[in-house]
Amino acid sequence: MKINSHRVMAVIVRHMFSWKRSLERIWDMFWWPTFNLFTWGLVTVYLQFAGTGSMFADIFLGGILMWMFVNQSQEEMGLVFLQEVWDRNLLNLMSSPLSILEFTIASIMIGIMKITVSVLWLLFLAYWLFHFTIIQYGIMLVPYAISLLLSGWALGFVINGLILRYGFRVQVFAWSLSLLVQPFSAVFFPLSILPPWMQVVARVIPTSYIFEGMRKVMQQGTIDYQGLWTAFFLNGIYLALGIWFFARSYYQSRSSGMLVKFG
Amino acid sequence: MYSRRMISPILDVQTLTKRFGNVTAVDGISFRVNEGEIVGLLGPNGAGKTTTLSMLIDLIEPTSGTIRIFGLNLKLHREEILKQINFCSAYTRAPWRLTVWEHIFIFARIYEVSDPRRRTDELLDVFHLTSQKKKLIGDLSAGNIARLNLCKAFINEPRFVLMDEPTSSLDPDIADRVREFIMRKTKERKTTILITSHNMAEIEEVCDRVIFMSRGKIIAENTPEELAKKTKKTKVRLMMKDGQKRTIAYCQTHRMKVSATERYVTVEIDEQRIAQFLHDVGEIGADYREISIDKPTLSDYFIGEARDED
Repeated sequence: MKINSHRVMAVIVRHMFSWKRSLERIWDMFWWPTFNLFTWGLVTVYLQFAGTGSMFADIFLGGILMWMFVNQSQEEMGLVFLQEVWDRNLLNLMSSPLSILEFTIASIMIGIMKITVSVLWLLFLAYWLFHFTIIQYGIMLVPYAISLLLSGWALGFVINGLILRYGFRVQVFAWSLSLLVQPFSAVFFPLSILPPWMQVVARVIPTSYIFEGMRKVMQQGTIDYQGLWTAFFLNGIYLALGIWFFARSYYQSRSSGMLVKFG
Repeated sequence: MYSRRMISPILDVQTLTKRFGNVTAVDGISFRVNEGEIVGLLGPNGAGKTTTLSMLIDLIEPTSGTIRIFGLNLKLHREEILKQINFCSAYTRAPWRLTVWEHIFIFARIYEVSDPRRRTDELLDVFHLTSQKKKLIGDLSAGNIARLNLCKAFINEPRFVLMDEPTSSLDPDIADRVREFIMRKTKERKTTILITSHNMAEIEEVCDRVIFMSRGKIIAENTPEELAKKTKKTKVRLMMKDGQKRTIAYCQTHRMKVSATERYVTVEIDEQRIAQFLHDVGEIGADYREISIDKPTLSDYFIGEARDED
């Protein structure tokens, strides 16, 4: 299937035009990350005073920063699609030469742009408020961040597939599905403190390997290659399944007439 | 022969069927639309018009049948076809946070129009939207949104445009301009148009041909005039001076459909029998001050078919 960069760009520009007048998007990019960082940052400062050590604070703040890669990449894929549905503009787009693949690529690019802005903002805030800089851990965290993006996109494909199949009834997943995964991901605590049954589930969730690996990088300065490759392997499987589910759902929504009902 | 403008087929639909579960929305329809034609797709609610239109722009997957546009199979040449056609519907909106200019500019880019900025300005001018171009779409009136939809539909100089009730919610003056624009485009650029509308006068004015659908099937296909003629009865309305009761009795004896209100008598009658009827009214000693004769319209045909369906 051919991908036309002009059409991908057009969708990106359309959302850029919209963003500058959208308080919700600005909230998403700046307010919620700031709120999270500030609240949890103060908790870690308090715990530091209570004698838990500075590494605890670093791990906590690192978790907040890294989780944003999953949350925002997943959320943005859903929101770009839902925005067109809410604006009743989806039929205008889908009856044009724009393909669903081009639209999805544009959603991913918009997500990357949003994450970049949010992460830069949080890096600045974390340094300014708590003298924390994740950059000190260097390039070692980059593959983990990439793997987290893949996790977010896999979830995003599933959410968009669900919306295409079941309509507005399931739009709440656009904001909440990643939160269902979070407790199994061991974002802020080691996997070993989870109850045994949750540890079993966590073994098939790629984000659990990533956050365990992130802590190892921060504490020992080494990469757990086995965990990292497992995460990439699982992400590959989930991403493939997510794309397959989304493609099936798109076909089904065209077959059932659901796509036209979105208006 | 339906139209003098008939040249070559732009759209060729063969045995197109769409089933949603047990419901057959479109039932094996076949029709063609030729270059430069304006064809109306009519029918009561639930006839299958919107489903048909949606299949023609690849929004609904047909259960069976083929759609060929510009001689190409839509299933195999989606991008190539959709680049050259466009669509507008009274039921779609536009992003309310975008300005009028931004929205049209985005579609100019999606359709890869050369010099999209110039084309956007040009088209906004054609649709008298230049003064609104910096306005947010959320602040536009319903009429201006309908004009914006039309503006988007012509951004790529399409060879074929599908319109789903394009002038609903427009005031008569703007609707008239839109009709003028549609007719001018077909003349200037041989743009082919397939249009659905509940405004029968509009269909009669702009369409070369009408396809009438009912319960998923095409039940008639002809020029608006010829379809109207299928409703044979002409309404003759007499303002009676004398002999109203005798006139009503005469109509009932001759099994004519008659109704009376105060001094008026309205009779539904075959056009060729009007002269005989008026002669007979004189013979029975009735007299009338005024007479009006309403020839059957497409609307009469539509109402007749819709009632038959019920």
